[in-house]
Amino acid sequence: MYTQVKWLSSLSRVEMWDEFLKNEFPKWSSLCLLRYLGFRTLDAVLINHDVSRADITFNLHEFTTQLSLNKVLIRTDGGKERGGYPRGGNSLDQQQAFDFISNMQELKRAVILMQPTNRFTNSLSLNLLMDYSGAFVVEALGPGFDISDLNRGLMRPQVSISTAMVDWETFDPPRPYLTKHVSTPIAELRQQRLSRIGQELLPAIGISSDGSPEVLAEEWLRSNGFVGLFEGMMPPIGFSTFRKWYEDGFMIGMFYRRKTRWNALVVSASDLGDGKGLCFWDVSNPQEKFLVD
Amino acid sequence: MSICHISCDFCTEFSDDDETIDRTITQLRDKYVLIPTLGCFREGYCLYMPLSHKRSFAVLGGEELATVENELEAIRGVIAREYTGQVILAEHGPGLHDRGASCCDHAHMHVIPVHSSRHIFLQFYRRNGDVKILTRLAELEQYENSSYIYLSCGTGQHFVWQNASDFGRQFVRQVCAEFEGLGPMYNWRTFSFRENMMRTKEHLRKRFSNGTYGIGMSGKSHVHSSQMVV
Repeated sequence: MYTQVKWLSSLSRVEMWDEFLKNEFPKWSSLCLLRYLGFRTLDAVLINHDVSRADITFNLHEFTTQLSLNKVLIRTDGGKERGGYPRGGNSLDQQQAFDFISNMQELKRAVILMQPTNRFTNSLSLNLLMDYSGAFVVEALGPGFDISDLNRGLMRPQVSISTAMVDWETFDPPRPYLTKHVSTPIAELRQQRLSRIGQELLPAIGISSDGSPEVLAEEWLRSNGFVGLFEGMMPPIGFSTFRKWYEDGFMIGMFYRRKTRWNALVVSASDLGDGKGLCFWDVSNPQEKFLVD
Repeated sequence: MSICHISCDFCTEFSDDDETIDRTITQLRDKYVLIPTLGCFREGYCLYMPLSHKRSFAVLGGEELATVENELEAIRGVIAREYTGQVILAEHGPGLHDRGASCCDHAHMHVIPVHSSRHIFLQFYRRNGDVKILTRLAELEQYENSSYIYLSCGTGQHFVWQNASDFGRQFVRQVCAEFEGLGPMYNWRTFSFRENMMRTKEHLRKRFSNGTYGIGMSGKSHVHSSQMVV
C-alpha cells in the first residue's frame, strides 16, 4: 500500500487555502495561494522528506504516467533557507529524479515535482516586485530567457517598469505615470544567456564541448529551432498590460497579508509561448524565505 | 409553492395567475429557479433564486446552503462552458432592519459570466477593504440578520463584506457593466437587454433540459410584460 502525496490539481479551494496558511514549505504554500486565486500554475505534487523510498517511486511513476511525461521538473523546498541551499529547476528522468529526491531527503528538504517546461522557448519572463512602502515594479526579460536568469541574480532585466505611491491597503488603479528603464542592452544580455546555457544548462544534460560555451549554446539552440533568443522581440508592454499585472500583484499581496504582514514580495511568472498566457511559479517573501540567525 | 402576501415582483412572477412572458431556464428541486436577469447586459447572465419568498440566502440555514452551493457550482459550470471561462456569483443580501445594497428583499444570486473575476473582486475591495473569507457557502448563515455583500469568483471561493451600505444599489451590475463597456446601462429598471435575455433563456434551456448537467428542468417562471422595459 503506497501513500499518495498531495497533487496541487486535486486540492479543493479550502485545502489550497489551508496549505497556504500552513506555510510549511514556502514554494508549495505560494503555489497553493496562486491556484486558490485562479492564476495559472503547472500541476505539481509535494514529496515531503519523510516519504519512504517506495512511496517516492510510486508517486514519481503516478505523476509521469498520469501526465504522460518523460521527465519531471524538480524544485526543492526546505522551509526557511540559510543561504546556499541546493538549487532545483532541472527537468530529470525518473531515475535521476529518484536520486535527486533521495539526496534531498538526507538534507531534510521536500521536493516539488512539476510538469516540465522548455526553458529555451519562453516568450516572456516576469518578476512583479511589491514593496510595501509603495512601489510596484515589473522586471521583464523577452523571448529565449528564463525566469531563473532573473531570480538567481544572473542577469539584469531587459526592461523594468515601475509605479510609486501604491497604497497596498486600499486598491486604486495604478497612476498612468510609469517609469520605464531599458536596463541592459539586449546584445549584452544575449551573451550572458548564451554563456549560462553553454556553461551550465547544456552540461547538465550531457552536452559540452572544449570550445566557447557561447558558440556551443548558439549552435545547439539554432539546431533545435529555439531561435527566440536571436529573433524574438520583447512584446510591447502598454499601460493596460501593466495595469493587469498590477491588479494581479495587488490581489496576491492582499491575500498574502492574511497569512503574514510583508515588506516585500516577488511574484514570478513566465509566458511559456504556448498561447495560454502567463504561468505563475511562486510568490517569494524574503522575510519567510531566509532564516535570520 | 409558497407565495408571500406582500408586494414582491418575483413572487408575483412565480405565481401562476399572470399575463406574462415565460423566462424560466430550469427549476431545481421545485424550490429554486434559474432565470435570465432583467438587464441582461451580457448573454448568460442569470439569477438563481428561491421560489418562495426568502429575504436572503443567509436565512436559508447552513444545511440548505450546502445543497445550494452544489447547485450553484453545477450552474456555474454550465454557464462557464457555454459562455466564458469565468463566472462570478454575487448577492446583495438585505438585513433584518437594513436593506444594505439590495434592490428587493426576495433573495437572488447573480450568476454572471465575466472576462476577469479578479478585476471584479478588486472593485469590491476598492469600495470596502474589510473582506471576510468563508470556506463554505453554509457559513453565510452567520449573516442572517445583517445586510451583506457576497461574492464568489470561482469554485470554493466565498467572500463577504458587511457594512453593505458602503456599496451602492446594483453594485455588482455597475462593476460588471462597466467592464463590458456598458457602464451607463447597468440599471435593469431602464435597460432590460431583452434580446440577450431571450437568447440566454433559449440557449440555456436546451442545455439544462436534457439533464446533461445533472440538473433537470421542471415547471416554469414568467416575467410580467410590465417589467420588460427596453
